[in-house]
Amino acid sequence: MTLEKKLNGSSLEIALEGRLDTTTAPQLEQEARASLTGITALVVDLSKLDYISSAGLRTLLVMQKIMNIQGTMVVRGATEPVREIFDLTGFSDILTLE
Amino acid sequence: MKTDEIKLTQEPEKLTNTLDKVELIALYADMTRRDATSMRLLTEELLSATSGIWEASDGTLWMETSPEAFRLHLRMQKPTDVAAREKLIALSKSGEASLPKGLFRRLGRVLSNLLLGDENDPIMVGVADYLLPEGSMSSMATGCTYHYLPCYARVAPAPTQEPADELAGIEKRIIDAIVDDVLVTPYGDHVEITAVKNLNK
Repeated sequence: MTLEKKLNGSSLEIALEGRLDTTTAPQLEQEARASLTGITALVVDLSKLDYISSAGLRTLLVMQKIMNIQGTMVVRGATEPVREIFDLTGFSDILTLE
Repeated sequence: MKTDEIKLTQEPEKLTNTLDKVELIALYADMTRRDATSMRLLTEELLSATSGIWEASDGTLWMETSPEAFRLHLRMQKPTDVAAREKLIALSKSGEASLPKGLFRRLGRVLSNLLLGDENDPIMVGVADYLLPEGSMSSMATGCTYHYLPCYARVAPAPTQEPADELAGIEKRIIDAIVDDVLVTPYGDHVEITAVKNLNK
């Protein structure tokens, strides 16, 4: 998985590419925890993410819970396989999808 | 075709290799790229759902493919604590342990009729002493343990139970959506989980 961050004031966009799974989710969580201080608007771009497992969902939930306290989080451009997993697990109702 | 057994490990690189292999075998079995990815996800979720159990023992994984089905087998040592056993049983689609195949199964059926009454009684027989001792009885002659069906019902929570939080049972939800059946079969000293994806749909 590759991860790209774009910071604009208190807004942050994180773009993910590849697979968000058991082995890569810890990397995302570490990056997110290190980057979210002072952020009020977070966009997670999943348009190039083609695989997500429950480990990835856990990390997105951690990020969502942090952002519930300090601002907003939007998940953008989820691909069809990823969206299917969101629907299946009820994450479509937990996350704000665009 | 049956693949070699893969010894499971938590090392990220080896885990990724295992998942890559599952995806590759699925493609060899003429599955679409998308279905092969689903098999990868299935494997990851099965391993995640049984984490803490297979790591503690020599967990192995292998696949069997045929024109009819793709079968993923996960074998691990039989856990000693009840919570871990419940966790495994809860993975099955039926919510119950499956009977071991072969001679022992047939023997168990015969003995259940002899010892426990009519063949139509709601009795589940297991030759392995897998589940709770409560409500079960053992035959000293055979070493078999017999469990009444209600014992299994207590062990396996109803699949419709609401999760305690957003993540509770998330692996099982994904697994159930991918495969047609999940069997959890206890043997003497180990447990085997078989996830079956039918290919002729």
